[in-house]
Amino acid sequence: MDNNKFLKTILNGLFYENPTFVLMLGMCPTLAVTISFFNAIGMGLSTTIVLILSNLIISLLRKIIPDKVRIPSYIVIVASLVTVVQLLIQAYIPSLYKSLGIYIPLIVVNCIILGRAESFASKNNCINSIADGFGMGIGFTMAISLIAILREFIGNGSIFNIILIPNDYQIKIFSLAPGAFLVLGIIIAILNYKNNNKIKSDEFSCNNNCLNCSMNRITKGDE
Amino acid sequence: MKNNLLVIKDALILFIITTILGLLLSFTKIITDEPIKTAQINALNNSYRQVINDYSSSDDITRKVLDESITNSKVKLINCLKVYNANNETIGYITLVRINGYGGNIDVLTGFDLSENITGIEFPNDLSETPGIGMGITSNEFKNSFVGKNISNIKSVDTLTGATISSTAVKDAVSFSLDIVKNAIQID
Repeated sequence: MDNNKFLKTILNGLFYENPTFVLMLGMCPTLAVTISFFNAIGMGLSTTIVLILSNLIISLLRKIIPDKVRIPSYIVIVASLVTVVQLLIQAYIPSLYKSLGIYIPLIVVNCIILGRAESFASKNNCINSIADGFGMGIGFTMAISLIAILREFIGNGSIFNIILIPNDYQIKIFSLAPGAFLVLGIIIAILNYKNNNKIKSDEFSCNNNCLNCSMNRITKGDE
Repeated sequence: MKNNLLVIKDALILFIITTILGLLLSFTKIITDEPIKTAQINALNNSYRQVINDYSSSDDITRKVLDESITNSKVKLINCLKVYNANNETIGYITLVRINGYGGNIDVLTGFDLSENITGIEFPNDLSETPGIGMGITSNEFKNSFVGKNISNIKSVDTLTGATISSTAVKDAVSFSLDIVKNAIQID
Protein backbone atom coordinates (compact mmCIF):
# COMPACT_ATOMS: atom_id res chain seq x y z
CA MET A 1 0.00 0.00 0.00
CA ASP A 2 2.87 2.35 0.86
CA ASN A 3 4.71 1.38 -2.30
CA ASN A 4 1.63 2.19 -4.33
CA LYS A 5 1.38 5.73 -2.98
CA PHE A 6 5.12 6.23 -3.57
CA LEU A 7 4.82 5.27 -7.24
CA LYS A 8 1.56 7.17 -7.67
CA THR A 9 3.18 10.32 -6.29
CA ILE A 10 6.04 10.10 -8.76
CA LEU A 11 3.72 9.55 -11.71
CA ASN A 12 1.64 12.46 -10.45
CA GLY A 13 4.56 14.83 -10.73
CA LEU A 14 5.65 13.45 -14.08
CA PHE A 15 2.35 13.48 -15.94
CA TYR A 16 -1.01 14.07 -14.23
CA GLU A 17 0.04 17.21 -12.35
CA ASN A 18 3.11 18.19 -14.36
CA PRO A 19 4.33 21.45 -12.76
CA THR A 20 4.83 23.23 -16.08
CA PHE A 21 1.93 22.07 -18.26
CA VAL A 22 -0.76 21.46 -15.63
CA LEU A 23 0.05 23.33 -12.41
CA MET A 24 1.79 26.10 -14.38
CA LEU A 25 4.26 26.84 -11.60
CA GLY A 26 7.72 28.28 -12.13
CA MET A 27 6.90 30.07 -15.38
CA CYS A 28 9.74 32.60 -15.06
CA PRO A 29 12.65 30.18 -15.21
CA THR A 30 10.72 28.12 -17.76
CA LEU A 31 10.61 31.02 -20.21
CA ALA A 32 14.17 32.16 -19.53
CA VAL A 33 16.04 28.87 -19.48
CA THR A 34 14.41 27.12 -22.43
CA ILE A 35 16.45 29.01 -25.01
CA SER A 36 19.02 26.23 -25.07
CA PHE A 37 18.52 22.49 -24.55
CA PHE A 38 21.72 22.18 -22.52
CA ASN A 39 20.73 24.98 -20.13
CA ALA A 40 17.26 23.51 -19.70
CA ILE A 41 18.57 20.10 -18.69
CA GLY A 42 21.05 21.67 -16.28
CA MET A 43 18.45 23.91 -14.68
CA GLY A 44 15.94 21.07 -14.47
CA LEU A 45 18.32 18.69 -12.73
CA SER A 46 19.54 21.35 -10.27
CA THR A 47 15.92 22.19 -9.45
CA THR A 48 15.15 18.48 -8.96
CA ILE A 49 17.95 18.08 -6.42
CA VAL A 50 16.90 21.19 -4.51
CA LEU A 51 13.24 20.11 -4.68
CA ILE A 52 13.95 16.64 -3.25
CA LEU A 53 16.07 18.06 -0.42
CA SER A 54 13.68 20.89 0.46
CA ASN A 55 10.68 18.53 0.42
CA LEU A 56 12.59 16.15 2.69
CA ILE A 57 13.62 18.83 5.19
CA ILE A 58 10.21 20.48 5.34
CA SER A 59 8.53 17.10 5.71
CA LEU A 60 10.86 16.29 8.63
CA LEU A 61 10.02 19.60 10.31
CA ARG A 62 6.33 19.64 9.48
CA LYS A 63 5.24 18.93 13.06
CA ILE A 64 7.55 21.61 14.47
CA ILE A 65 6.92 24.58 12.19
CA PRO A 66 3.93 26.56 13.51
CA ASP A 67 1.18 27.16 11.02
CA LYS A 68 1.23 30.96 11.28
CA VAL A 69 4.93 31.31 10.41
CA ARG A 70 5.12 28.51 7.86
CA ILE A 71 5.74 30.69 4.79
CA PRO A 72 8.78 32.56 6.20
CA SER A 73 10.08 29.25 7.55
CA TYR A 74 9.81 27.53 4.16
CA ILE A 75 11.42 30.47 2.40
CA VAL A 76 14.37 30.67 4.78
CA ILE A 77 14.89 26.88 4.58
CA VAL A 78 14.85 26.86 0.77
CA ALA A 79 17.08 29.94 0.47
CA SER A 80 19.66 28.50 2.87
CA LEU A 81 19.57 25.14 1.11
CA VAL A 82 20.16 26.71 -2.30
CA THR A 83 23.00 28.88 -0.97
CA VAL A 84 24.70 25.85 0.56
CA VAL A 85 24.32 23.91 -2.70
CA GLN A 86 25.71 26.87 -4.66
CA LEU A 87 28.75 27.26 -2.38
CA LEU A 88 29.49 23.52 -2.55
CA ILE A 89 29.25 23.43 -6.34
CA GLN A 90 31.37 26.57 -6.67
CA ALA A 91 34.06 25.06 -4.48
CA TYR A 92 34.18 21.43 -5.61
CA ILE A 93 32.75 21.24 -9.17
CA PRO A 94 33.89 24.53 -10.79
CA SER A 95 33.15 23.33 -14.34
CA LEU A 96 29.50 22.73 -13.42
CA TYR A 97 29.38 26.11 -11.70
CA LYS A 98 30.63 27.84 -14.84
CA SER A 99 27.77 26.49 -16.96
CA LEU A 100 24.99 26.69 -14.37
CA GLY A 101 26.22 29.36 -11.98
CA ILE A 102 23.68 32.05 -12.76
CA TYR A 103 20.71 29.70 -12.61
CA ILE A 104 21.27 28.30 -9.14
CA PRO A 105 20.17 31.40 -7.17
CA LEU A 106 17.15 31.56 -9.48
CA ILE A 107 15.95 28.24 -8.08
CA VAL A 108 15.00 29.98 -4.83
CA VAL A 109 12.28 32.00 -6.53
CA ASN A 110 11.02 29.03 -8.53
CA CYS A 111 7.43 28.76 -7.33
CA ILE A 112 7.50 24.98 -7.73
CA ILE A 113 9.68 24.66 -4.63
CA LEU A 114 7.47 26.78 -2.39
CA GLY A 115 4.30 25.41 -3.98
CA ARG A 116 5.18 21.76 -3.30
CA ALA A 117 6.44 22.57 0.19
CA GLU A 118 3.14 24.21 0.97
CA SER A 119 0.77 21.72 -0.65
CA PHE A 120 2.56 18.39 -0.24
CA ALA A 121 5.64 18.24 1.96
CA SER A 122 3.93 19.95 4.90
CA LYS A 123 1.20 17.30 4.92
CA ASN A 124 2.95 14.05 4.02
CA ASN A 125 5.67 11.83 5.43
CA CYS A 126 9.31 11.91 4.35
CA ILE A 127 9.30 9.01 1.89
CA ASN A 128 6.33 10.30 -0.08
CA SER A 129 7.71 13.84 0.03
CA ILE A 130 10.92 12.60 -1.57
CA ALA A 131 8.80 10.87 -4.23
CA ASP A 132 6.90 14.09 -4.86
CA GLY A 133 10.13 16.09 -5.11
CA PHE A 134 11.57 13.56 -7.53
CA GLY A 135 8.41 13.34 -9.65
CA MET A 136 7.82 17.09 -9.83
CA GLY A 137 11.50 17.78 -10.49
CA ILE A 138 11.84 15.26 -13.29
CA GLY A 139 8.45 16.35 -14.66
CA PHE A 140 9.72 19.92 -14.70
CA THR A 141 12.96 18.82 -16.37
CA MET A 142 11.12 16.87 -19.07
CA ALA A 143 8.73 19.76 -19.72
CA ILE A 144 11.37 22.46 -20.07
CA SER A 145 13.62 20.14 -22.09
CA LEU A 146 10.78 19.61 -24.57
CA ILE A 147 10.19 23.36 -24.86
CA ALA A 148 13.94 23.98 -25.16
CA ILE A 149 14.47 21.41 -27.92
CA LEU A 150 11.75 23.08 -29.97
CA ARG A 151 12.90 26.64 -29.27
CA GLU A 152 16.57 25.93 -29.91
CA PHE A 153 15.89 23.95 -33.08
CA ILE A 154 13.38 26.34 -34.69
CA GLY A 155 14.86 29.59 -33.34
CA ASN A 156 18.57 28.84 -33.50
CA GLY A 157 18.71 25.89 -35.87
CA SER A 158 20.82 23.90 -33.44
CA ILE A 159 20.73 21.06 -30.93
CA PHE A 160 23.32 21.16 -28.14
CA ASN A 161 24.90 24.15 -29.92
CA ILE A 162 25.55 22.14 -33.11
CA ILE A 163 24.06 24.22 -35.91
CA LEU A 164 21.82 22.09 -38.14
CA ILE A 165 19.76 24.70 -39.99
CA PRO A 166 21.50 27.55 -41.81
CA ASN A 167 21.10 31.12 -40.56
CA ASP A 168 18.62 32.19 -43.26
CA TYR A 169 16.03 29.60 -42.27
CA GLN A 170 16.12 30.16 -38.52
CA ILE A 171 12.99 31.77 -37.10
CA LYS A 172 14.69 33.99 -34.52
CA ILE A 173 11.51 34.94 -32.66
CA PHE A 174 11.48 31.50 -31.08
CA SER A 175 14.73 32.32 -29.30
CA LEU A 176 13.15 35.41 -27.75
CA ALA A 177 10.42 35.91 -25.17
CA PRO A 178 7.38 35.83 -27.50
CA GLY A 179 8.55 32.51 -28.88
CA ALA A 180 8.64 31.04 -25.38
CA PHE A 181 5.00 31.94 -24.81
CA LEU A 182 4.05 30.60 -28.23
CA VAL A 183 5.69 27.21 -27.76
CA LEU A 184 4.37 26.85 -24.20
CA GLY A 185 0.83 27.80 -25.22
CA ILE A 186 0.74 25.47 -28.20
CA ILE A 187 2.00 22.49 -26.17
CA ILE A 188 -0.56 23.11 -23.41
CA ALA A 189 -3.32 23.45 -26.02
CA ILE A 190 -2.36 20.11 -27.61
CA LEU A 191 -2.22 18.39 -24.20
CA ASN A 192 -5.58 19.81 -23.11
CA TYR A 193 -7.16 18.75 -26.38
CA LYS A 194 -5.90 15.19 -25.92
CA ASN A 195 -6.87 15.04 -22.25
CA ASN A 196 -10.30 16.59 -22.62
CA ASN A 197 -12.76 14.83 -20.33
CA LYS A 198 -10.08 12.31 -19.33
CA ILE A 199 -8.92 13.99 -16.09
CA LYS A 200 -11.32 13.28 -13.24
CA SER A 201 -11.40 15.63 -10.28
CA ASP A 202 -10.52 12.96 -7.72
CA GLU A 203 -7.16 12.40 -9.41
CA PHE A 204 -5.78 15.67 -8.06
CA SER A 205 -3.68 15.10 -4.96
CA CYS A 206 -5.53 17.82 -3.06
CA ASN A 207 -8.84 15.99 -3.67
CA ASN A 208 -10.35 19.15 -5.11
CA ASN A 209 -11.10 20.46 -1.63
CA CYS A 210 -11.03 24.09 -2.69
CA LEU A 211 -12.71 25.48 0.42
CA ASN A 212 -9.91 24.23 2.64
CA CYS A 213 -7.15 24.67 0.10
CA SER A 214 -3.95 26.10 1.53
CA MET A 215 -3.68 28.55 -1.39
CA ASN A 216 -7.09 29.85 -0.33
CA ARG A 217 -5.84 30.57 3.18
CA ILE A 218 -3.10 32.84 1.87
CA THR A 219 -5.53 35.19 0.15
CA LYS A 220 -8.23 34.97 2.81
CA GLY A 221 -5.83 36.00 5.57
CA ASP A 222 -5.38 34.25 8.88
CA GLU A 223 -8.24 33.99 11.33
CA MET B 1 -3.03 36.90 27.30
CA LYS B 2 -2.91 33.40 25.78
CA ASN B 3 -2.74 34.96 22.32
CA ASN B 4 0.42 36.86 23.23
CA LEU B 5 2.06 33.66 24.51
CA LEU B 6 1.22 31.89 21.26
CA VAL B 7 2.72 34.71 19.20
CA ILE B 8 5.89 34.62 21.29
CA LYS B 9 6.12 30.83 20.92
CA ASP B 10 5.74 31.02 17.13
CA ALA B 11 8.28 33.80 16.86
CA LEU B 12 10.71 31.85 19.04
CA ILE B 13 10.50 28.75 16.84
CA LEU B 14 11.07 30.86 13.73
CA PHE B 15 14.06 32.46 15.49
CA ILE B 16 15.54 29.05 16.34
CA ILE B 17 15.08 27.76 12.78
CA THR B 18 16.70 30.89 11.33
CA THR B 19 19.60 30.74 13.79
CA ILE B 20 20.37 27.09 13.05
CA LEU B 21 20.25 27.75 9.31
CA GLY B 22 22.45 30.83 9.75
CA LEU B 23 25.05 28.74 11.58
CA LEU B 24 24.88 26.06 8.88
CA LEU B 25 25.43 28.72 6.19
CA SER B 26 28.39 30.26 8.02
CA PHE B 27 29.96 26.86 8.48
CA THR B 28 29.57 26.04 4.79
CA LYS B 29 31.06 29.40 3.79
CA ILE B 30 34.08 28.84 6.02
CA ILE B 31 34.91 25.41 4.64
CA THR B 32 34.34 26.42 1.01
CA ASP B 33 36.29 29.70 1.09
CA GLU B 34 39.68 28.15 0.29
CA PRO B 35 38.50 25.76 -2.47
CA ILE B 36 36.55 28.58 -4.12
CA LYS B 37 39.60 30.87 -4.18
CA THR B 38 41.72 28.06 -5.63
CA ALA B 39 39.08 27.31 -8.27
CA GLN B 40 38.90 30.98 -9.27
CA ILE B 41 42.69 31.25 -9.63
CA ASN B 42 42.72 28.08 -11.72
CA ALA B 43 39.96 29.40 -13.96
CA LEU B 44 41.85 32.66 -14.46
CA ASN B 45 45.09 30.84 -15.34
CA ASN B 46 43.15 28.66 -17.76
CA SER B 47 41.76 31.68 -19.57
CA TYR B 48 45.27 33.17 -19.74
CA ARG B 49 46.49 29.94 -21.33
CA GLN B 50 43.66 30.10 -23.84
CA VAL B 51 44.78 33.50 -25.18
CA ILE B 52 48.52 32.81 -24.97
CA ASN B 53 49.32 29.09 -25.24
CA ASP B 54 52.70 29.13 -23.51
CA TYR B 55 51.54 31.23 -20.56
CA SER B 56 53.46 30.25 -17.46
CA SER B 57 53.63 33.32 -15.19
CA SER B 58 53.13 37.05 -15.39
CA ASP B 59 53.84 40.44 -13.83
CA ASP B 60 51.08 42.94 -13.17
CA ILE B 61 52.07 46.13 -15.02
CA THR B 62 48.66 47.82 -14.89
CA ARG B 63 49.87 50.85 -12.98
CA LYS B 64 52.83 51.36 -15.32
CA VAL B 65 50.78 51.48 -18.52
CA LEU B 66 47.95 53.70 -17.33
CA ASP B 67 48.63 56.76 -19.43
CA GLU B 68 46.57 59.93 -19.73
CA SER B 69 46.95 60.07 -23.50
CA ILE B 70 45.28 56.72 -24.21
CA THR B 71 42.25 56.88 -21.98
CA ASN B 72 38.95 56.03 -23.61
CA SER B 73 35.58 57.10 -22.27
CA LYS B 74 33.91 53.80 -23.28
CA VAL B 75 36.54 51.22 -22.38
CA LYS B 76 38.11 50.73 -18.96
CA LEU B 77 41.41 48.95 -18.38
CA ILE B 78 41.18 46.46 -15.54
CA ASN B 79 44.45 44.57 -15.82
CA CYS B 80 47.59 44.51 -17.95
CA LEU B 81 50.04 41.65 -17.56
CA LYS B 82 53.51 41.02 -18.95
CA VAL B 83 53.60 37.32 -19.76
CA TYR B 84 56.51 34.89 -19.34
CA ASN B 85 56.84 31.30 -20.50
CA ALA B 86 58.23 28.37 -18.51
CA ASN B 87 61.82 29.56 -19.12
CA ASN B 88 60.97 33.02 -17.73
CA GLU B 89 61.31 34.68 -21.17
CA THR B 90 58.90 37.47 -22.08
CA ILE B 91 56.53 36.13 -24.71
CA GLY B 92 53.83 38.77 -24.79
CA TYR B 93 51.16 40.71 -22.96
CA ILE B 94 47.61 40.14 -21.76
CA THR B 95 45.02 42.84 -21.15
CA LEU B 96 41.63 42.67 -19.46
CA VAL B 97 39.32 45.54 -20.39
CA ARG B 98 35.67 46.26 -19.65
CA ILE B 99 33.20 47.83 -22.06
CA ASN B 100 29.44 48.30 -21.99
CA GLY B 101 27.73 45.84 -24.33
CA TYR B 102 24.04 45.42 -25.06
CA GLY B 103 22.82 43.76 -21.88
CA GLY B 104 25.61 44.73 -19.48
CA ASN B 105 29.37 44.80 -19.13
CA ILE B 106 31.59 42.74 -21.41
CA ASP B 107 35.04 41.83 -20.03
CA VAL B 108 37.43 41.12 -22.91
CA LEU B 109 40.71 39.28 -22.24
CA THR B 110 43.19 39.73 -25.11
CA GLY B 111 46.58 38.12 -25.64
CA PHE B 112 49.36 39.74 -27.67
CA ASP B 113 52.76 38.52 -28.85
CA LEU B 114 55.87 40.72 -28.88
CA SER B 115 55.10 42.00 -32.41
CA GLU B 116 51.82 43.46 -31.07
CA ASN B 117 49.76 40.83 -32.96
CA ILE B 118 46.69 39.39 -31.28
CA THR B 119 47.09 35.77 -30.21
CA GLY B 120 43.55 35.26 -28.95
CA ILE B 121 40.57 36.75 -27.14
CA GLU B 122 38.39 35.32 -24.37
CA PHE B 123 35.46 36.35 -22.19
CA PRO B 124 36.48 35.22 -18.69
CA ASN B 125 33.45 36.63 -16.86
CA ASP B 126 29.68 36.26 -17.22
CA LEU B 127 28.04 37.98 -20.18
CA SER B 128 24.52 39.37 -20.26
CA GLU B 129 24.14 39.60 -24.03
CA THR B 130 21.03 38.27 -25.74
CA PRO B 131 21.23 34.49 -26.15
CA GLY B 132 21.36 33.39 -29.78
CA ILE B 133 22.12 36.93 -30.93
CA GLY B 134 24.64 38.99 -28.93
CA MET B 135 26.03 35.86 -27.30
CA GLY B 136 27.34 34.94 -30.76
CA ILE B 137 30.46 36.86 -29.77
CA THR B 138 31.49 33.77 -27.80
CA SER B 139 31.56 31.64 -30.96
CA ASN B 140 34.94 30.29 -32.02
CA GLU B 141 34.42 31.82 -35.45
CA PHE B 142 34.11 35.36 -34.07
CA LYS B 143 36.90 34.97 -31.53
CA ASN B 144 39.29 33.53 -34.12
CA SER B 145 38.62 36.41 -36.51
CA PHE B 146 40.75 38.57 -34.20
CA VAL B 147 43.79 36.28 -34.18
CA GLY B 148 46.79 37.69 -36.04
CA LYS B 149 45.32 41.19 -36.32
CA ASN B 150 47.18 44.25 -35.18
CA ILE B 151 46.67 48.04 -35.07
CA SER B 152 46.83 48.37 -38.86
CA ASN B 153 44.09 45.86 -39.78
CA ILE B 154 41.86 45.64 -36.67
CA LYS B 155 39.18 47.64 -38.50
CA SER B 156 38.79 44.82 -41.05
CA VAL B 157 37.28 42.41 -38.52
CA ASP B 158 33.65 41.69 -39.44
CA THR B 159 30.91 42.43 -36.93
CA LEU B 160 28.06 39.93 -36.43
CA THR B 161 24.85 40.35 -38.41
CA GLY B 162 22.00 41.26 -36.08
CA ALA B 163 24.40 41.72 -33.15
CA THR B 164 25.96 45.03 -34.06
CA ILE B 165 26.13 46.50 -30.56
CA SER B 166 27.65 43.44 -28.91
CA SER B 167 30.24 42.72 -31.61
CA THR B 168 31.20 46.38 -32.13
CA ALA B 169 31.76 46.67 -28.37
CA VAL B 170 34.20 43.77 -28.54
CA LYS B 171 35.99 45.36 -31.51
CA ASP B 172 36.29 48.67 -29.64
CA ALA B 173 37.58 46.87 -26.55
CA VAL B 174 40.24 45.04 -28.57
CA SER B 175 41.26 48.27 -30.38
CA PHE B 176 41.80 49.92 -27.04
CA SER B 177 43.80 46.92 -25.86
CA LEU B 178 46.06 47.27 -28.92
CA ASP B 179 46.78 50.89 -27.94
CA ILE B 180 47.53 49.86 -24.36
CA VAL B 181 49.98 47.17 -25.43
CA LYS B 182 51.67 49.49 -27.93
CA ASN B 183 52.26 51.85 -25.01
CA ALA B 184 53.40 49.01 -22.77
CA ILE B 185 56.03 47.86 -25.25
CA GLN B 186 57.27 51.42 -25.73
CA ILE B 187 57.80 52.14 -22.07
CA ASP B 188 59.50 48.80 -21.50
